[in-house]
Amino acid sequence: MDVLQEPSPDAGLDPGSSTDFEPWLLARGPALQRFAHLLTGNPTDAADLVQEALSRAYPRWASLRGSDTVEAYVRRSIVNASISRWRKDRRLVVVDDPEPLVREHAPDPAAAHSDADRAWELVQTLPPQQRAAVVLRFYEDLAFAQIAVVLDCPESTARSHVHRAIAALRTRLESTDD
Amino acid sequence: MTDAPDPRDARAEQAFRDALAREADRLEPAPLDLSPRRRRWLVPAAAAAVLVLVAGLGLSAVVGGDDEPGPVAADGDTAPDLDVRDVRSVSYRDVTVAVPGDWDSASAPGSDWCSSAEPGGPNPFATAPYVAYDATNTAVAMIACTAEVPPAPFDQVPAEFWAPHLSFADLRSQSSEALVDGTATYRGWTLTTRTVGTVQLRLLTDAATAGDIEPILDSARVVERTPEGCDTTSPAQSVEFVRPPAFDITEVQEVSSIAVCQYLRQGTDAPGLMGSALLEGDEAAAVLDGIRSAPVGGGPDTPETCLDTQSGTEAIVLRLTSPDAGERDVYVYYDWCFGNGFDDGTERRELTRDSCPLIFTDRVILHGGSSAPFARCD
Repeated sequence: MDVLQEPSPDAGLDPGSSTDFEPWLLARGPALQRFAHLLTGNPTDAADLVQEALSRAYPRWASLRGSDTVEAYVRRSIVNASISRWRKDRRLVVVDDPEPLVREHAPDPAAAHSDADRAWELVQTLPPQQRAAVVLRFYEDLAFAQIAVVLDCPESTARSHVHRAIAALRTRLESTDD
Repeated sequence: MTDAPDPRDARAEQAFRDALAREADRLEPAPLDLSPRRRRWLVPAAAAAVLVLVAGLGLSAVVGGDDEPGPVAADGDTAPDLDVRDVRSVSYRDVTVAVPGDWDSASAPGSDWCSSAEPGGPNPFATAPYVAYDATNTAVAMIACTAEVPPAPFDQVPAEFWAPHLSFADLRSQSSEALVDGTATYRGWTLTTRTVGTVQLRLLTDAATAGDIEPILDSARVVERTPEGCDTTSPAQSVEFVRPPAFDITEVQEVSSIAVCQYLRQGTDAPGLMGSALLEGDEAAAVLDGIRSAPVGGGPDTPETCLDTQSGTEAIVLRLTSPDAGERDVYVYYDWCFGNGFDDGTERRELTRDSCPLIFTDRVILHGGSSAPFARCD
């Protein structure tokens, strides 16, 4: 299993010396936002989560870059932030504008009742760590060992998250076939 | 076990892949700008946006804060004698009231109820009688929920999501709408409002709980100290960070109880108590141990992430009652990006997982705040 080393707290970096940060951000920013979007289902939240994660990674850029753990570190930060936000959102709900919300939640008639629709409906109801496991497995195509690294959990837990999600979706799909 | 999928699951796995790919493709990535100059402004801007949102919510309500509160039910320095066998006391601002012991605490649905429920759908809100948490610092989505809602003075929430409950409104707050004291009915529900001290009690009952109206409202008293031992007005309400009278918590060997007193930091000219709880026995001992063993220095702080002209909105006073040290106060700051920690007036200690979550119990809840202390305390 890959081991994601937590950067040392004193691994700070003068922002002016991070010459390869912005190229990396340009290259990886969209993919990270898509990953965050799949965790949150909300594009605004996704951008915020990525921004927060990158803000945390930036001062540690030198050590992260040196240990080749940037991607895993940022993904873990995004997952952790999504979990924290999910906990808060049970009490706090912030919506910028109801108009786009309505549009985004409007069902697509052409795609109604597809397996993918059922799958996305299920994904949106999963607890955040399980949702992250599903996204990492089926969108990022990571092995369970890699998922465990990102989620900072035992590999068996990552495996369990994914298998229980599959079982839940299988039940839903089979019930709609009846 | 291998990573190879079970053939029976192939359809589900493919559905996940299709769904996630489709949803990911729908996203138009936003521009990310973390250049040093930009980064210094992003977080303060975000904090300011939150402040504007909360302030905007306050202004969206009918302003009733200028109304003088009505006559109080009683004056006194101490809480009334409450029959603790059958009831429990809850306190808010300068008022203590007795409620049935099985009325738990819960969040009342707000004007954004439709963000988590829809008419005819499952009811995600409390269904048993409850006492509503202070919603002062609970952000509410600024969305227009459309449905048939009851007339004023009832909450603009469909009756299907109601449950009997008691809520409080601080009449000095501009975010509280002052209602006329009295009774209103709607489809078998009764809303009874009564002003006591600086607070308006609002009691929603159905037929099954109609008998609780008078016992609850008649029990309300203006107090300066709650039954748990919390002052209803505290220096910890100061907008600025303040310190308690100094003592050394490491020299406190034992506590018989700890009153947990949560305050809105709005200044000290009016009662600011938001919620209170009493820890005894092992719970109190665990909090004492957790604080004593926390690293000196305070935190966790992330001062680069917010406005240094603000200092948070809440504080907690832990009032320790000790056989050896008497009554001592520890101040706790936990909702801002700096100034966090336990303070005995001598040292500031860090919020830790072994200490902070233990103090958020019963009527004292964590509303939100800066991510570093939130992660320790939630």
